[in-house]
Amino acid sequence: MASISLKKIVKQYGQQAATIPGLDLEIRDGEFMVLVGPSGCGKSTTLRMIAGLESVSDGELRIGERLVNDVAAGERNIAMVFQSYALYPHMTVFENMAFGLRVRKTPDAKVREQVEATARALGLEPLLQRKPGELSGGQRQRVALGRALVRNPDVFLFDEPLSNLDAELRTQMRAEIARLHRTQGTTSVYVTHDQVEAMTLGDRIAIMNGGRLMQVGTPAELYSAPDNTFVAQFMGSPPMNIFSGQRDGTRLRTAFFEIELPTATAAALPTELQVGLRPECLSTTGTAATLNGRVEMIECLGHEGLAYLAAGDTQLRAKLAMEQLPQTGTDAVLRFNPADLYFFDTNGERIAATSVEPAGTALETAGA
Amino acid sequence: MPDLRKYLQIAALWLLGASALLAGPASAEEIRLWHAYRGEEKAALENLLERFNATVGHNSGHTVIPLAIPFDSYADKLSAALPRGRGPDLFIFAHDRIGGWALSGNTIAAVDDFASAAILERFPQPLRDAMSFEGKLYGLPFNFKSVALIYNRDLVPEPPATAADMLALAKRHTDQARGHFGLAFEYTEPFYHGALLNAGGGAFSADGELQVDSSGAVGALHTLREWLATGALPSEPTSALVSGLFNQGRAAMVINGPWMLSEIDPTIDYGVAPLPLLDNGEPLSPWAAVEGLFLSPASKHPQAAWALVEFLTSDEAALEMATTGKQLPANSAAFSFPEVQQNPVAMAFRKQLDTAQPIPNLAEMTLLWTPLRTALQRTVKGTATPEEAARELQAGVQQDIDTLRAQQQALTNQQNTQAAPLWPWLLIPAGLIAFLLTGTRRRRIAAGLQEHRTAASFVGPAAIGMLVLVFFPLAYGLLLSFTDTTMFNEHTPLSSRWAGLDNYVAILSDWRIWNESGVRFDNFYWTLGITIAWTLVNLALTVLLGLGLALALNKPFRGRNLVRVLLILPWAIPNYITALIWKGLFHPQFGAINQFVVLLGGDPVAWFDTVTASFFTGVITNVWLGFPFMMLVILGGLQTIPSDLYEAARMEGASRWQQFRRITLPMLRPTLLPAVVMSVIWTFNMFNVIYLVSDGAPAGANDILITKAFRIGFEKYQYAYASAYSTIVLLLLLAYAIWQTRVTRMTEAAK
Ligand SMILES: Nc1ncnc2c1ncn2[C@@H]1O[C@H](COP(=O)(O)OP(=O)(O)OP(=O)(O)O)[C@@H](O)[C@H]1O
Ligand SMILES: [Mg+2]
Repeated sequence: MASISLKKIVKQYGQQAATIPGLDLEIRDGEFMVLVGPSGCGKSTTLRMIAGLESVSDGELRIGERLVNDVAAGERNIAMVFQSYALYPHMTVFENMAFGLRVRKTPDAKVREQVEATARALGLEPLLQRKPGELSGGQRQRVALGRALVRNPDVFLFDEPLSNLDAELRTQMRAEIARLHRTQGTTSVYVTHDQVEAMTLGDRIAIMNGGRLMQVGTPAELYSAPDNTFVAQFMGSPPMNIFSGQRDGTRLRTAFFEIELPTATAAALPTELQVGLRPECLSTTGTAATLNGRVEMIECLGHEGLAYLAAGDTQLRAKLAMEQLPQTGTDAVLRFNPADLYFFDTNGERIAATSVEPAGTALETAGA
Repeated sequence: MPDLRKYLQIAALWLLGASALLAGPASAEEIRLWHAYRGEEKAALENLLERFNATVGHNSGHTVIPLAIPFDSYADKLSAALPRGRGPDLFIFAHDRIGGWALSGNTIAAVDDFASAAILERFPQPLRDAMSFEGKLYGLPFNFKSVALIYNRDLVPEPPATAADMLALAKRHTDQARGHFGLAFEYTEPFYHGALLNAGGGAFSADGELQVDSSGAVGALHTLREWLATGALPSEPTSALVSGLFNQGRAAMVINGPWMLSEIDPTIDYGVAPLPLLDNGEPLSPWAAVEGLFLSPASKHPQAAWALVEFLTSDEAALEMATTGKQLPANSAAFSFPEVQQNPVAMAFRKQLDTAQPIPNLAEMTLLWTPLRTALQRTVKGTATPEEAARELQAGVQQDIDTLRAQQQALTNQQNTQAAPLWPWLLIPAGLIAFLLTGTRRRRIAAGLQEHRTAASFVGPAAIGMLVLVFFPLAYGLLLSFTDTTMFNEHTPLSSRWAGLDNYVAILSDWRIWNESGVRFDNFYWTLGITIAWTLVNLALTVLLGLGLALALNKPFRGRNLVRVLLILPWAIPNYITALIWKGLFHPQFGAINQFVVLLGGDPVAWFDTVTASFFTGVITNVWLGFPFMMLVILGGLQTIPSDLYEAARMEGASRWQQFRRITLPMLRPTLLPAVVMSVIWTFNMFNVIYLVSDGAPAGANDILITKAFRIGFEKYQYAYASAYSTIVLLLLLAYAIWQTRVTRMTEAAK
């Protein structure tokens, strides 16, 4: 078991601009760290550098106390589960799981014992003599997990291990991975696209974009205190509404509403800014501030629905209970609590320590 | 009307198939003439035929229809057509087959009744002798050829008069270091050895008995060794080497025939003279090959054909052949025309004829060529003394002759020497079809055809083609292997040739791999052993080399595509060309390989003299030819292995070697197996490489089964024995293929 430390890690492929221009990330011992971010942002590259499958162009990579920049993959005592499972097709499940032990010249009796123990834990016992071609996708995934577990590594790496499974199996395997981490407590780094996986599995989540780390934090922190519009929009479904606003004195004007700001808050804000509001913070009831917009479209999701509102060129989504959904084509008036507003500068950075006190004195004006 | 189009296409396919089976019949007023002439000689012949058609033929109402047949298939075509009465009325062919044809009957007609004394006066005595066999005349001589001395006039102003002069001169013009030689000729070729052999009394005595171990014949071998001992002659001479040296001014004199003249570089000023006299005053007397005009016994117009023969040997025709055709006409009158007399080359060859000997036209002679070549090679290389070589030659050929004579004896005892009709052969497929068409089978087949009518009609033409081109020859070969057919009894009824399993017993029960003088290289089991060793060594090396290169090429590096194309090139060049190039590279004196060895300070290797070195030459050539295929197959296989398997293995700490052993190799198996099967079959039967590079040297030790079968069939003319050999090869490969698929299926099932 070990912590992982990335200091100013750079990855450069050939002459092009660095894929990862300098990444700092500390993963604690026993932590389950999830890497998320849009496609091509460098999640796999980061993971593969930790694994030793990709060289580190610059910076310091440590596992435990050891500097591993130049340590071969096989020497790092790391196990990795691949998206494609990467099972050896010509070997039985047993041989697949025993491979790593055997190349390390573990005695046969010990190999048998360890493989069988792991197989038992994962319910793979009846499959030991089959070849990967004779297994279902879920079983293969389980074997890939087993192969990683059997060596008792210091670190587990997962690169989108569940993306080839159907929704139901995915939930089931997710639970399994969570259980394994609970019982074994091995430091894990998990790459995924899937927010739900990230939220449910991760002790902490690192959000990446364009090779840069946008924010690291527990799922709750990322949701409630995003550092920037990217994180704000990345976490939560549907994403946070962001639209531009203008401050004029203590008045904040946006396409949907105009409110009066407390003086302290107003002082901290620039005149041009971006305003964020989560769709789930809107409703038709309550005493808070109101906003107006034209209903362009309605989406029903069962017990709740989405209303798409437009004011001029600006759009906004609201998540409402079914009975609150307005009619398409009508002008709707929705209510929100100004305390739920987030403020970002025009570069998308959160303007810290700004929230609107629930004054209840906010003025309402009709949106343009 | 898509249907109509389809049926038209099918009809066209059927017509193609059918037309291949039909041959047009000849018209009554035509005289058919077959020949294998090309170029100038063909032009001269066609001029003459035109003249004949306009004059003599016109008057008698006959037209000559000539047919030029490719030289390679000419003899076979004649042997197949003439005894069955389906050949030409007359044909032009070398005289040395007369004996065999005369004995087997029905192939050439005796012409004593036609040939008047006046006509015979046209030809010198040796040429008349050449056309006679056992007191009968079989046709008239047309043109002749023999070797003479061709010399570079810049180096040799006056041709030498005696052999001693010739060698002294040759020695003076030799500079081995620079690759210059005084004298070059293909002295290991029996035809060229004729000059020495005939001066020593010839291969056969006056009454036709083999005498290649006579003191004269042994003396001829000694003389050859003495000539070579001067160092004035290049080693391993081939016709390309001889003419190449002469053209580069690196050979002062060569012994060669008129066929070389057209290849001589125009910058070389050359002269031709008869071969010199030996020390005892006897002339060197080369063999003369005579082209004769022969009548078919089945000709329906013998008179008209004979008129053409007389016309073609007339003085006028001889002049045309000499001038336009650049030939040496058999009619001596040609050489008294001023046009020809002014040609010193033609006159020199004519003069050589006076001391030349026609090649014996005995059937026995055909059995001598190949063994004589082996004896010459052994003498030259010093693996046998002239006495030993001559004794073994005499014994071996005499045995073949005895077999042949016994067969002929049996033939003359039989009254029926009619050509075997072809139609009984049709009974076999007919019987097969009849069997297939009985009872329920017929209904099932008919239903199948009905159901897949379109498919069947598309497959039909190809199936018939296969039947004719593959299965029929196969069945014929199989049948032949149960007979004792040779060149001399081919046309007799099959029943008289039936020999049951004799050939197989003879081949398989001969366990005498060794005798007192060493390994018997013509033993089946020796050859089988060599073939298996050949196959395994080649397979191992091509797979290893292919694997190594594929692994190297599988990694990206600069210029990879270029390297890949370069490595595929050996495969893209026709293999016989590559084989000939390698043969040249291995030449002991001129080959680049030995030059390199010498450069490195080694001694030149006599590549074709020992069993292992000679084996090695074939292996190198074949590996060169074979590795690109393996490389491509393996490269394809490597690219199907997902890279994440290697990553997973790296994560688990597997070394490169472990990755290769545990992942690469097992995952290559499915691609490699079929390639190995194919490679085994190709290599097992890799005729070209063996035949063209080592040619089985030394003494047939490195022949593989298929080249051995070829030699038995086409150098010894033991067709049936060769068929049995080929059948055994076929069975061996079949057994291998079955075994291999079994094994593959078993391992697949085990997966
Ligand atoms: N071998 C390589 N050579 C050059 N560029 C590469 C190489 N491998 C990856 N990249 C680039 O690096 C960037 C990051 O790739 P990476 O695979 O880490 O993305 P990712 O975040 O895992 O995306 P996804 O979610 O689609 O898997 C991409 O822009 C990719 O094009
Ligand atoms: Mg990825």
